[in-house]
Amino acid sequence: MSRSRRRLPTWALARFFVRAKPVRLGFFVVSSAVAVLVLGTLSFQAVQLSSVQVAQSELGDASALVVFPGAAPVGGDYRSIKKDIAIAAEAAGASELTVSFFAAQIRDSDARMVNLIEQPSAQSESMGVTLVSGSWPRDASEAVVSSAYAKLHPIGSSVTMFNGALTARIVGVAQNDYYRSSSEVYLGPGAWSSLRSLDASTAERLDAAADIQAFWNGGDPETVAQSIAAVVPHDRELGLQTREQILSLDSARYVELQLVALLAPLVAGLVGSLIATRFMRRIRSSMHAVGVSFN
Amino acid sequence: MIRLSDVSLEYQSAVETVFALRNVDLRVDRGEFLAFTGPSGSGKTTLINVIAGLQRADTGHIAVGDVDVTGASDTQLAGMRLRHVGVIFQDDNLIREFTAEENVELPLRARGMSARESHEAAQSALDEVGVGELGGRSPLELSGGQRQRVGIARALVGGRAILLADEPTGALDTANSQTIFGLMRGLANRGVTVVAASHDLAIRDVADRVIEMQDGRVIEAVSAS
Repeated sequence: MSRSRRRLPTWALARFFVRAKPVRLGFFVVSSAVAVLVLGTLSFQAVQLSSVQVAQSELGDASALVVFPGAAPVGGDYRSIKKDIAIAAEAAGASELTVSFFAAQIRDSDARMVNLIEQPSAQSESMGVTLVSGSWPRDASEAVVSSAYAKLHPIGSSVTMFNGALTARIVGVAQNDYYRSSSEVYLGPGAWSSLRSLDASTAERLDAAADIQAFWNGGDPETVAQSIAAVVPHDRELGLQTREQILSLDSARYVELQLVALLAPLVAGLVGSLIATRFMRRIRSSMHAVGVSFN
Repeated sequence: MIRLSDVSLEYQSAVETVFALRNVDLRVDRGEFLAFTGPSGSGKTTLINVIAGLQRADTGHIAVGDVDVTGASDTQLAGMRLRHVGVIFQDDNLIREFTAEENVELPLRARGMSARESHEAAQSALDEVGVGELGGRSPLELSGGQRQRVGIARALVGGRAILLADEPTGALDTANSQTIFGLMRGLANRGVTVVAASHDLAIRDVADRVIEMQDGRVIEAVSAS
């Protein structure tokens, strides 16, 4: 018995593919447009951020930063961890330690993605986050939002996360000089720890975690980072960044990024149009022999 | 039915001028099975192509039925192939993305036939060449002989009365070649005019008339066995 295939809308498909030019042009135009868009965006960023500015936006006034990705899942008690980090860093020769929590891409009650940041306001300011109105949060019940997010949540309104487990009144609007379009919520001190009130099953269901970030000055960065790592429970590679390291990056890094970002969609478009051309040429040839003409 | 008068065609290769056809005169009657044989490069394929309007002759005159092939536009030639002349090739030339039946339907849909009518006609054409039960399969799921039969069904569906075949058994084994030649013979017996180019000598057993070609010339009319 024959195996019957689902019937295709043969005639429509044939007409579509034999009219090759729009399809090929479509591939090329879309890929070129994406490439130009990516190039434009990256060029803008490259112009905006010199390596000095990158260092400022990443480290503020600190000389080094170590990140423990996802080391602070919701529901934990982080006050003692902060204390342990401070002791470990100081023992390794670090000074001016700041510990912050950064949870990326968390959904708010309207399902919009925001970055949650809990860190001292001085650290935020040194990283190029300027308060444009209101005041910095004083406790876990208050928050400052970035100007992009303030369009939806102005001062006086509230922002709610984690099914209502975290609600904060917005008391200020800040602007990130380097990433102006980001939707960010700067939480008050202890806000991330306040989520420990969640019961275990809810915390597990939320499956959200913040990165623990430790900034400091002085000491040997590697030694300090290792010392801190010894007291932070983590299962992923820690990310150490130093000012020296960031400053050593020159603009070539951005040029390389731009080229890859430009070439990737262009190459994809060219390959796509090549495949489409070959495919349509084959079909056109079959149709031509049969006498089907779409001219 | 098909008349060629003093038809010539030459083209320039990288090193020399190639005379693909030289002063070819030919007449094929309705229902006749005419075969061209000859070595590679003798002009067999070119002759099929100029009759089908897939290539233009430099000089001479070609008429297929009422169509003046030499003076017709490309669109008129496409129309001629669509309505009167079916062509099959060594490579089956089927669209792999469509089923066998959908391939056969294409010329009918191009002629404006409804989906239902073309489906029925395609099925009937496939039945006629003995692959009616394979209509739902992709050409990739068919053997070489089955694909060539589908090609014949597509060439003749809708009542086309002329079948031009260029090396139709070139990619087939002996058994399948015999089946295809037998099928072509049967079509000729029913009034279809068949013109086939082949280097397979077995075609002499089924053709009404065999013409030997060499260097673009008709050098000998060989009697069919």
